[in-house]
Amino acid sequence: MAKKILLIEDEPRQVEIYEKAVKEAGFEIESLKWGEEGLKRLEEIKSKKKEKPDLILLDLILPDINGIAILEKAKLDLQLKDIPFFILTNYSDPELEKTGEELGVEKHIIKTDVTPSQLIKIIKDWFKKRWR
Amino acid sequence: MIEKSFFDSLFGLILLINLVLGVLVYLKNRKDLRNKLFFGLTLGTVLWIGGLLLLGLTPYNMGGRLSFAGALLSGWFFLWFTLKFPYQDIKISFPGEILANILVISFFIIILFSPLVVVKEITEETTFGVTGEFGPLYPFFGIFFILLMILGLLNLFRKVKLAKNEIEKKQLEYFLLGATLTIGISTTTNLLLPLVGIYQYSKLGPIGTVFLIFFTTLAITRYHLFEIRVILTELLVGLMGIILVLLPFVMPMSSLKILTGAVFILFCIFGYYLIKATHEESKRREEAEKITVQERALRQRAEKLAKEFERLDRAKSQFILATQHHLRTPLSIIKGYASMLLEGSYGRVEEKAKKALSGIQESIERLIKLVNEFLDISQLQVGREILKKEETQIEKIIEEIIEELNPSAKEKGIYLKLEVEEGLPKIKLDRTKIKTAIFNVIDNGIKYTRKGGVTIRLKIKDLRLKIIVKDTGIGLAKEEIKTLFTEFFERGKEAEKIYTTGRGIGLYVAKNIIEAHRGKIWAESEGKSKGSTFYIELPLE
Repeated sequence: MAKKILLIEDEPRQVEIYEKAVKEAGFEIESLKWGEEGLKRLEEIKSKKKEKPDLILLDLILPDINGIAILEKAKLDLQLKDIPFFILTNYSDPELEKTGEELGVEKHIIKTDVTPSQLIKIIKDWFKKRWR
Repeated sequence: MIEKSFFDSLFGLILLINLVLGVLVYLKNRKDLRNKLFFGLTLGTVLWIGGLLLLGLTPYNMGGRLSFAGALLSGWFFLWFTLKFPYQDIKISFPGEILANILVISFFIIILFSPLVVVKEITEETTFGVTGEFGPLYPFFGIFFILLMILGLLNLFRKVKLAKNEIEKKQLEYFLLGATLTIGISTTTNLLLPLVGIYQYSKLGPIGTVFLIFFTTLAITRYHLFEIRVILTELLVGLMGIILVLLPFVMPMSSLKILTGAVFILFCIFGYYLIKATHEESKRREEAEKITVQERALRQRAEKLAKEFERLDRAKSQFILATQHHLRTPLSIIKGYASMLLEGSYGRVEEKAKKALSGIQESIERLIKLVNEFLDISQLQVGREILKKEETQIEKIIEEIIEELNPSAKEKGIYLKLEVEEGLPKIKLDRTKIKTAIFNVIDNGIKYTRKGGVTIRLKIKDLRLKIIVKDTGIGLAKEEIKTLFTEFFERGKEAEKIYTTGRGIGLYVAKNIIEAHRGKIWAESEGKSKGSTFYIELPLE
């Protein structure tokens, strides 16, 4: 079964690029633009209304809230803490990065550092390693 | 039996001292309300004692009335003085102030012009006191007066506790002590005891003011209260001088005349130096105070600036973090589209177009690198700890760099050599950033070398890792070395000819990164066209 990826990202062009690349790689992808939507989704996952994604790609700078808030909510919840997160951002604040690490983020990726296909490779490698 | 004349002359003397003290304080600073209030306080005391001196000598019991009115005045000024000295710390409501003033003035008029307080000033005279006959308002006057005193003492007490410095505290303590003794004695002998019918000590009251005078004078001389120390010294010396100059004339024997004359001359000499010393000390003190005030003002300004600087620094830091996000967002999108186009995600791309897309991709990578470097520098400059240090084998990094740079060296036909000392230890470094720094230095060497090449040597010396990058290129002029690592570096004409797109910040970036690692970077050159050597030193930790 195709892996499900949830992208939380507000920049429409960026969403378009990542959605296209992820779909081409054979994954399922759904995108949320607002931080609040992300928080709501976590609630829905908790109450089994929505399916747990296999990976969440999280941007840190969202139009309404800081992405870290979503990460915190998930990682401090027993039912949600096993959802893997990649931080995918253009905002490199070492302190935030450290916070992410402490909360158990799998990877912290700066968007300008990777092309979409490089990102797909990172995701694929990570899935392979995880399920081996 | 103590003579009435003894008390009269004693009263006269105390009255005079009160008056002199009050006038001196007033003259010292006529505009200062506190000096005026103190003057009022002494004037009230003078009226009170004067009235007592006049008992039985004036019609309408004016002496007795004057003494009560004077006491009321001094009490009123005392309260105001304690409220304003050394500064006002509690606010008095305007209606309250008006009401109290009206009450005091009414009492003053009633005492002076009606028999409601003083009916008859003398009914009987004893050694230490005078008995009188009092009217129906006398108890009210008594209570009102005691209230003024208590409030005044409470003010002083509070201000001693609030005193900002040792000197102010001492001034207040002395004044409080004098006031408490004076009020304690005078109120007991002249108000409380007469209320219960004991009149025979009323003459002791004025003598009690000696305490206030004594301690106020002490505060003046020792702790510079009212700043009249100098005048007071001069006055005392003058007074003594007058007495001493008169002595020889009243002495009966010529030998005594000579002796007292000599004493006068000696006194004059001592007096002169005493006054001079007091003057000088006072001047020094004033200067010291001026300096203290200036110092305080400067310190306040410095603190304000420091706060402002901190605020700006935080704002700058936040701005940089926000900027990086804004700058990188479009870059990552262009990069994404370009690479996906090239990879055929949007359909087949012709070879010609592929070349153009590669051009876009190359430029975008350069731009991303530039933005990253700028961000690194700005963050390092605002003191952010952005280094992510890990144990690193430095020669590995340099080998990677050489691998990346080899194609361009080969293209130019120059060599790229690495000489490594055996057994280099691992060092804690931010791998990515150090790589950028060393890359920039080596890249710089390649760019400005036409023939020959670049040699990189690694060695340990004095617990420091040395990276020496030596090229056989165009070399550096002395002036260029000075500004080489700054953001203002302008490349020489020759450098621009050789490498047209150089932007001159690569070395600046390198310097910032090396220094963030507590390392050093510098360059040496024998001169133009004699090659240059770049040195990087990193602590082994």
